[in-house]
Amino acid sequence: MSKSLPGVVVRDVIHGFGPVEVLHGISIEVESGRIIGLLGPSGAGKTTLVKLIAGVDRQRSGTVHVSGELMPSFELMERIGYVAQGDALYRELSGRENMEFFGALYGLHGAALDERIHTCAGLVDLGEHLHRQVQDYSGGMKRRLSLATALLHEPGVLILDEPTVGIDPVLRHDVWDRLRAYADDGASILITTHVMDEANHCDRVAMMRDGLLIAQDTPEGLRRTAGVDTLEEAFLHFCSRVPS
Amino acid sequence: MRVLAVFRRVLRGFGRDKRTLVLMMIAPVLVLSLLWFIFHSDTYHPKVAAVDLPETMVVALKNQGARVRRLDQATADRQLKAGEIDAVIRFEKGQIVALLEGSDPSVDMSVRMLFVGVMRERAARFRPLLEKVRRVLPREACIVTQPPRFDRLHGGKKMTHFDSFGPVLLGFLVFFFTFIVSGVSFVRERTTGTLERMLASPIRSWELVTGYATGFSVVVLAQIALMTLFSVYLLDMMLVGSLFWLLTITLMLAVSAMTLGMFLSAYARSEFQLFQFVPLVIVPQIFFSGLFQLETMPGWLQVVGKVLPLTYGAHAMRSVMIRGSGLAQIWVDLVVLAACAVSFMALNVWIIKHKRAV
Repeated sequence: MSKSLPGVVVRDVIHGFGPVEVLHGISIEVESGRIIGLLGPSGAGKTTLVKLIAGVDRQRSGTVHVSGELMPSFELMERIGYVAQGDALYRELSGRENMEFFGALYGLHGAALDERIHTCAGLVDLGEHLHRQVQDYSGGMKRRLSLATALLHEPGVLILDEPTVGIDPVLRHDVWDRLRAYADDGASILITTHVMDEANHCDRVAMMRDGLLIAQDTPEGLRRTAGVDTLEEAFLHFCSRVPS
Repeated sequence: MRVLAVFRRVLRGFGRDKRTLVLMMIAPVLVLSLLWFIFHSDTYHPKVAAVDLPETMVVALKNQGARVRRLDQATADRQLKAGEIDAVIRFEKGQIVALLEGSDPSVDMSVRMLFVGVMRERAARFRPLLEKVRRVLPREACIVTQPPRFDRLHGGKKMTHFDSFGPVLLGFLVFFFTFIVSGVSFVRERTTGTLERMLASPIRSWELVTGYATGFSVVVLAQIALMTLFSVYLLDMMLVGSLFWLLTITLMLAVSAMTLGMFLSAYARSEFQLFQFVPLVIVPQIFFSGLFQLETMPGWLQVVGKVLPLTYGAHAMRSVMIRGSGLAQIWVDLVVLAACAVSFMALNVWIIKHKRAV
């Protein structure tokens, strides 16, 4: 793990599908030990952006650096944990078997893998359900299993696409506490969300709309600049200032 | 090792999905059994009307397996029109004339074969008399006095349509079922996001494809071994050559179908779209696989057949099963199948790499 290096640096990234340009030049930074929230409505380009950072897609132009090195690279992908929007789990396998498989992809095996599975499943409160097939899990349980799976190899950079959808409020609070603890250990965490209130948990919030960053600051800073009480109002404020 | 992780994951997935496993085993066995019932049944016994035929001729036709009814001309014509009989047979100026129903060539053929049989039988009966005639006739007239005898290099008298079509249909079914299983599994990897999840990990594209291909091969091996053994030992499909080569061919055919399924799954957004590839990619192969005579097709169409894996698989299977061929006769087919499998795998790696950033 290399948690001391700067986490993620995205510079002037442009991307699109076919003739449609989806990201119009995005620059964003995630420092070590910080949680950055990508906030915006669906269709803003959040998922497209995090996929580029996770290395599952290649941007048309611009650069992504992770831990100071240029993406894409297999070595860097070992240090990234990525939880996609869907649950991306094998329904017919048990929770443990899913974790074993994805852990093995990151080179974990034997006692070390068992120990990590135990720890990560405990973090999301799934320890006693690991033997069950994933198709019998509730939506929230699948979400938590996805998160636990992404933590197995102790990534220095954690990318979470809408991680708290379908998780009940008590557990959601818990998940945020865990993420905060994980960031305090030196990880860089990038979270996308369309729930404005959730963004308050983040150290910094980057507001996205139609493939553009419209504002980037601490939650307090954003509210103060906009002169409003909630992030939702702040979002509306910044939207109105963008010439469309 | 990551290849091993993928390999184990594929096997575990199939192991947990009992219903799919059972369907994979039952469906081909059921289809093969049906084919057996259709193609193994006894030869067709044509229904013919005899109009004013001498009793000896009626008996002779019956001896050849015809179902003969003696009718007057009007009734016979009416029944032929109604489709109740296949032919009306009568004498016309000392010659036997058969009016065939004519809409089914295979039925026509079986009526004609009746007379081939009768001719042979009559020729044997009048041998001494014909022998005298033969001496005074020119030599090429022997075709009339002594109908030709047919010997077989391969096959033998007991060979049925099932034995002849069997190898091709077995190859087709192996190809079809393997294509479906691998294609659907890989489409599901795409739709559930597990493929993307793997692509976000440090697994190399070739490791992913190799792990998948080997895992599937094990599952598919079980399926095709069952199909092959069931055909040969329970349905008694002719197998003159060695079982080893037969299994080798079917496995290689299956591997090329599997890798083709994986490759095409990249162009399908859902299982439904994958199934659209069946009439496009799988069904045409059966037309070129040796069930039908290709020499009468336009040249460019024959070339199409030359690039389809099933053509080679079916050819090799027929060679081994009916002609008892060994490696010397089938190595070209095996090389082509291996080349198909390798190039489809390379295409898979390319497609995954192309999509991925690394």
